Amino acid sequence: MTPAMSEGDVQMSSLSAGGNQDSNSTTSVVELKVQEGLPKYFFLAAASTSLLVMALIMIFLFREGLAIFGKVNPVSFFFGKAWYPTYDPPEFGILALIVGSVSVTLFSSLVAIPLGVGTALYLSVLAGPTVREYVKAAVELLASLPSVVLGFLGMVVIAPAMQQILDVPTGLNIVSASIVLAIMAIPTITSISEDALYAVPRDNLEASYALGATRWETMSRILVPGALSGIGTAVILGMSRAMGETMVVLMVAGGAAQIPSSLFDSVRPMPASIAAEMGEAPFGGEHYHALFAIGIVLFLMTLIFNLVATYISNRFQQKGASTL
Amino acid sequence: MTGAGSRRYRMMTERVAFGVIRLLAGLVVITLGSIVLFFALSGCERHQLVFPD
Repeated sequence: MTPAMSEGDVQMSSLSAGGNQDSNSTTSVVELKVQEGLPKYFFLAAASTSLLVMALIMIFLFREGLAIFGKVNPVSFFFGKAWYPTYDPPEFGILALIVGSVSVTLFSSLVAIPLGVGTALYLSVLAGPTVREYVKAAVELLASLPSVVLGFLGMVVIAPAMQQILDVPTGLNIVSASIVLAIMAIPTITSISEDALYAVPRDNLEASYALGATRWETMSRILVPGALSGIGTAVILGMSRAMGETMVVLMVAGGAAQIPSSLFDSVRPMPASIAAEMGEAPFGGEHYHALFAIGIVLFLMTLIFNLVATYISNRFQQKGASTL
Repeated sequence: MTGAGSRRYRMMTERVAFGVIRLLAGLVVITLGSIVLFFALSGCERHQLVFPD
């Protein structure tokens, strides 16, 4: 206030300032609401877009795939052993393709689960800080290898070596494909399992050590049971990845649509059939619709894997300080 | 089983179990090393073919 200003001037100026303050505060509340509302609507739009895209894909998949059942009996489609889509008359039995997918997934899981979980246990229990850093980086590097590169490796190295060493008719078979798929699934299993092991409360482990348990006893009776939900989820997600993988099975599984009688037989898993045949299937024809129907089967199998993973995660969820 | 025997058994179990875990982790690292080595060697070979000295 300058000395020349009267008391009335001071009151007026303070009233005017108060009025501005009210107006400013009203404006700032509106601005705040807009600022808060905008991100909310943005995220809602993003989530809705994802859901909408997924719904449209599913509608498209089911619309194109279910059309085959107007021409082919579902029983002969799912349980027929002959897959000759280009013959006259064509045969659309996908049992051999389902068996091919299941056999490759199961055998790759047999290889990947011990290696993946073992590596996770090593990283969380045994490895020192420096070794852990390097091994983790190596496992992450393994995850970043493109599937076509691994397929190439399987085709050029593993298949010929297997054919030579085991004296089998072809190296492109279930075992080769499973080994390459296992290499792909290991990083998924390792990283999720390691997170689960890390999430087990340290108090439990310290209590176990305090009671005189050895490191192995603590690991096998406290750490692993505590992380079982996460490890189960990791295994199922690894299997899901192996089931849906296309490039590796297209390159290494051999491509023979037959029900295998041994592990050294060639198979043609479902993703390989879709990838190999979609380009040559006439648009809107029976073959085209049959390939979409295979896509539905693949989608349902992967969905079941994910539901099982969710169930395991919830069923064995640890109640306590922390959980995955 | 005596206390000492039991302790020896527990330690032996631990050693075997941890040995297996180390082996599994080692296999993963060796697999990755082999893949990297394979591509590196193939690349070197190709390089020599294109640019002979």
